[in-house]
Amino acid sequence: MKKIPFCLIIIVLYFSNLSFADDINNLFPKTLNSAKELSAQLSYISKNENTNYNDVALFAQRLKQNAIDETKGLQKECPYLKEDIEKFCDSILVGSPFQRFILISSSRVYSIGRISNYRVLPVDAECQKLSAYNNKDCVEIFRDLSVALNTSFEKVLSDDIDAVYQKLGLYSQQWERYFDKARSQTSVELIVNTFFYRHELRKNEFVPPPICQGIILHPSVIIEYIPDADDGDKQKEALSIEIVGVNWWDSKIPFGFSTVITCSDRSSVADMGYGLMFHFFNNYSLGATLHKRDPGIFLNVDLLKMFENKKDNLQKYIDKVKKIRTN
Amino acid sequence: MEKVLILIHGMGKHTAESFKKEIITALNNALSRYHSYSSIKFEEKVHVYSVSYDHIFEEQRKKMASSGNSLKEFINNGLNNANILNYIEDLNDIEADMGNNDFIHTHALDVIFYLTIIGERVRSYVAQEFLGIKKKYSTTSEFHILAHSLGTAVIHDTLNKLYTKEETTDTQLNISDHSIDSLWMIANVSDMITSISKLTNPYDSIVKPGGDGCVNKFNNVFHELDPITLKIFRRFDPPDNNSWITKDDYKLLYKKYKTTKVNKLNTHDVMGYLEDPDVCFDFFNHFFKFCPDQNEKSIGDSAFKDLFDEANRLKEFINSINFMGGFKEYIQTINKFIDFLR
Repeated sequence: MKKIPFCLIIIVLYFSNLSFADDINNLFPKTLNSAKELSAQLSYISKNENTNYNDVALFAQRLKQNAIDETKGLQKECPYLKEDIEKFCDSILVGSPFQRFILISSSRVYSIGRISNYRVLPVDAECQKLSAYNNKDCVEIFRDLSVALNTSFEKVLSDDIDAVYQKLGLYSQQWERYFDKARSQTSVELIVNTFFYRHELRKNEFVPPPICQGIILHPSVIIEYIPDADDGDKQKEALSIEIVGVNWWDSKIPFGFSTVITCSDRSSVADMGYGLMFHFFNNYSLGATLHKRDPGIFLNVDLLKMFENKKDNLQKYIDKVKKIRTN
Repeated sequence: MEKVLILIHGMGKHTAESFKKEIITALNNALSRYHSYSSIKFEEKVHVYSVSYDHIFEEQRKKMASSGNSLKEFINNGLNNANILNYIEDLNDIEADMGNNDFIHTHALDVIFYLTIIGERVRSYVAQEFLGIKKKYSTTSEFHILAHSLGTAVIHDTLNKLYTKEETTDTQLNISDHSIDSLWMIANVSDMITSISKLTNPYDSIVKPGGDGCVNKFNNVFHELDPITLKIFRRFDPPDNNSWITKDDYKLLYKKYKTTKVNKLNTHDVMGYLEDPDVCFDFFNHFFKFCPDQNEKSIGDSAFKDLFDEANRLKEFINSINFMGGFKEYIQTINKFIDFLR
């Protein structure tokens, strides 16, 4: 037995996995080939690369001729088929939306385009008599026909999907950033922000996230410094509740502000303070409060960590310099 | 011609893989009941993909729980003698409890989150995933979608934003050029959800078959004893009177499946829906020729048990529901159903 070259096996396996493997078995090969040629032309037009409509008309005419020739065996059982193919091919020159060949196999009907003018498929027994179509049943035959004809729009429709996919990807990323990078939201804030953005959300198209987020009753831990408090009590953790505010989370310099109540356990000053809080880059916040007559300033934990890191780094640098000098 | 089935899960804990496995198992169970088809595996005939959006809800839930618990600890330990407003603590407790694994937090919260601004993130994500799957195949391939429970609302809202019959924007597809071959809505809650979200309801949207819709064939499946899809909960059940689609389109392009057999107590379970002979017969025929002879069909159909006792228990439960309307009561009813199943 002759050995089959290994590379030939690989090539056969590769092609058998490609989607156009179905093309090899399509019952309407000439129609399919014409449709592929037409598909390329339609794609050029839609990208404004070639505005030679005569070429499109030529290819559409060729498609029509091939489709009518190859479906001759079916036309007796489907008297409207020739007229429908003509309608399909003639409509191509009009452009998108295209009058695709729509087969609804479960209902055994087809239509050209979206108009409710359905043609019923013949009974299978009639189709299975047709040796020209390998004695297949009607659904299989018309499936092949729909693939062959609709291949005309393959490139244009693929390009459509690519374009929308890219754009939706941007929207999807923006929404992900809104929830990951912007300030976190509590249940109350989710409800309030949904309420204020409701008209956008109800549109029959996708919308990007809002440019600002409302802040309502947002709790967080802060480090508050009150110079007039007793020693040991000046700098302390406190609970801050932002009563109401707004944050522009995605502006060039993300910035926001809110009115705030702080609450801490100090014996020398009032527990509650009232003030303003400012947010920078979504994660960093600072502000000022008044506990009756005692002023205070505060940072949030993220901002404090940033300063602590810098302070540590500065101290390490100073120590290193001192060490070099003494050596 | 390639055939692609895209799955959209409902509320609860799902991954893309877990839901895909559930559906494929159900379909293969159904196939195995019919002798001539018992060796066929559904996933070998059809490319099956599952789009999961649950991670979006889980991320939000975990963030809220983590933040809430940290604050709770601080309030309890760091502010012993301070005067905190009670409602602030109560609000924070809601956040802290987000991490609980009870029904309210693993199931009902999905619905609540979906109704907020998070819903748009879900829809953008699902639309992008859907297109990502379409990109893998020729545009002449067949694309079918199956959605269950909350997934029916998600896919309905997503498709309604994705498709248009007007001039397209840069995030839309035309219904004529890119119609979906079939849509299977199992336990369809889209009308209930849109009645609260105020997004376009399924009677007015573009998610329908026919000349003005984005779907070629619309299959609407509900069980008469599924509490989630009772008529009082705005079950989607369009009439045949030209109000939703034309009568011709209704006859050819829409099918309602009102299943009645009780194979398991949880009539909302997607597997029960798909294994029902009334559903699986037509479902399979959307993808390949499924035509067991009369005798084989009779044997296969009757192998799907109809449990009389379970049916009676369910009827009693449903008769006990005293729904006065409102989203809160809807969630409570679902909660009672879960307790009933336990």
